[in-house]
Amino acid sequence: MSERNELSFEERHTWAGLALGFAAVATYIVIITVRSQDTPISEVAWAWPMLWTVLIAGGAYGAVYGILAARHRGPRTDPREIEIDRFGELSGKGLLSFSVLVAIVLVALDVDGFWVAQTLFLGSYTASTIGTVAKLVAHRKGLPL
Amino acid sequence: MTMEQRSVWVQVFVYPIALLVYLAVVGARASAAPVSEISWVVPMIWTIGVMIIAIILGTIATAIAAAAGAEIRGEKAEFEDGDIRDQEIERYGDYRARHFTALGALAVIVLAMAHVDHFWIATSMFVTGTIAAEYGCIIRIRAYRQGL
Repeated sequence: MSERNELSFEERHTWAGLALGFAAVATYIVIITVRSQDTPISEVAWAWPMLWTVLIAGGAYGAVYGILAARHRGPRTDPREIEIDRFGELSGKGLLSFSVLVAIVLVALDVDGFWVAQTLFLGSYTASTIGTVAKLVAHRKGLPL
Repeated sequence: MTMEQRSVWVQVFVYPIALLVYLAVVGARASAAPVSEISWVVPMIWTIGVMIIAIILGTIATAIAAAAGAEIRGEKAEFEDGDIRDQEIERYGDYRARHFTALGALAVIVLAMAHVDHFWIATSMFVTGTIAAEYGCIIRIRAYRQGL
């Protein structure tokens, strides 16, 4: 493999996070959809599937990060990548704040807790995915000015 | 001092006061009635509305006071325009405060899992949101003083 095509440590674990996050949320949605066939959707037991998918994906990401870190030689990051990280984290922030706002409105309207939790869960997942994709694009194409 | 910097200084005082007032109001109601029957929506809307107006008016008032002070001292009042440094400081503050917002969202999900009353969900969201904003402001003030 030539030096040019080699993914940096930051880029590698960002890709892993993207894939694992998608797998976790897709699994969760499938479980909830299947369960909602027999029960009304706001009465579906969503808490354990959410906890398990998040914990398993989080654990897998931690393991991947650990393996990559152990195999990696040399400095793990550089100033450019720190800036990319910051840029990515901020790209998703607006959506995260927005979903918190929507959640407050849902609570104020006395909507069932199920919907509040789904709003926050999917809102923060989408926000972090936007951030991750922004990071990966920035790794490839550079930061926007 | 730019307008952004003034606004941050005003916000640093407004958020804790607003939080305490809100908690005092709903706390007083909570001691009189079960939490499931408290109307917290109206106090929250009022608090957020007054908070926004206080930040705007406070920023204008401090700008006027600064100009008046400069005039009294016989200097020319200066108004700096916001620049790229203000923007960078704002981003830096948001970056540092984002974990609080995420933590607040997580806390709410856990509370919803535990089926607690909506009152607690709303209160915890308001508290974590205000703390996140306050923390971001403190970070920004430090950045104004000590650089990024």
